[in-house]
Amino acid sequence: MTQLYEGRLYSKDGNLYADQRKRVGDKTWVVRGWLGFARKDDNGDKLTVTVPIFKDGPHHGREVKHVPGTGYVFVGKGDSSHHEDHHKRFVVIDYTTPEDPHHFAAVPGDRHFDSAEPGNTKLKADPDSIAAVITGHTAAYKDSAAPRLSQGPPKMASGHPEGAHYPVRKLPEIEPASPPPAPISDTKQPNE
Amino acid sequence: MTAIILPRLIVPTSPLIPVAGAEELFGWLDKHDRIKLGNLLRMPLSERIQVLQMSGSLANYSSKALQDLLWGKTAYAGETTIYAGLWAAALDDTFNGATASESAYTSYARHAMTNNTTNFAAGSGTTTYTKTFPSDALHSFAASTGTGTNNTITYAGFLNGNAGSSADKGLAWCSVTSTTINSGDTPQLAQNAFTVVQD
Repeated sequence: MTQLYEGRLYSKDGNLYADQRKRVGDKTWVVRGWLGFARKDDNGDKLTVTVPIFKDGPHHGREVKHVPGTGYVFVGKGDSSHHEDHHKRFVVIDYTTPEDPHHFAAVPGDRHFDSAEPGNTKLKADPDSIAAVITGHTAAYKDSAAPRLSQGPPKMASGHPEGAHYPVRKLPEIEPASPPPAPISDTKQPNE
Repeated sequence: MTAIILPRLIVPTSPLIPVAGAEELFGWLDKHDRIKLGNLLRMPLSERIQVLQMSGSLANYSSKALQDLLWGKTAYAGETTIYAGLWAAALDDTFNGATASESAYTSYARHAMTNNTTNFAAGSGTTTYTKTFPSDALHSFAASTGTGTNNTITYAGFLNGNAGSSADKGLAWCSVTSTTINSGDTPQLAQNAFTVVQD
């Protein structure tokens, strides 16, 4: 049976608890001496200590949670906490794993169902075989007319100080469309 | 599926202390910042104090307790539990548990921290002694289940009680980056987010 709670609350670790602690007064006493040895004479070494005295109500410290539309209720044995409810309420679906059971595990009758595999799902793709086929660099190298390594390094471009590993194509010279802008004569900047 | 938590970090804002020495920084600042800093330096003292008060301070209660302990040996046993509260309006040294505009988003409750060296570890420094907390980990308030009232947080205060009355004495307070707590948000105090400096 749900039991409502109306009163002060405190939070800890994201959860709520009933706070029925009341301050009922202070207790003051005078300590004399040091290191636990009481002194009979008062030579100024006294220390006045005042400590507040609290009294707890019957529900103090019991876990509480807020239920929208109902209010604050005590958390019973086996009930989820306020923090756990928050997690449930604000769970969102990661779009890489849509909420379709077929995407979490194959079910009997599926084309990929295999009870011997983890998740009852056959391996749908072999990354190594995909890489072997799709890797464009390997295929391009194999199919190109580029010299094989066994034929030695490619020829260096002539005229380049350090040479080049690839043929050099001379670009047409580009005439400047207009002369470069004249330097600004007034070097004083605004706001200076 | 992925569970998404919606944390809302309560971020203290830095103290802003305009002093004449700040002019040494002018060469590094653009015009806009120079003007702002210059205006701060030219403020009347009372207004500069107001600026300082925006950052945070120990409250009247804790200042008195510490002074009386130091000068006169009036014992201060310390608090058993320190409660962190959130406010939607400015706090000052006089604040207590009944100070208006405390947040009341649905499911809000002050966050209880046992006053020990786990939550408030020893500080560091000699000429300037600095303590930061919460020392152990990030601390979470209860998640919001509704907007409620006063859910745009601008100040945080630490108190010695949770009665919701003036019996709860203010210990320290500071301004924080304005943070709106919507339904589903969990206000959090990052580990060592709060700093108290004594020079």
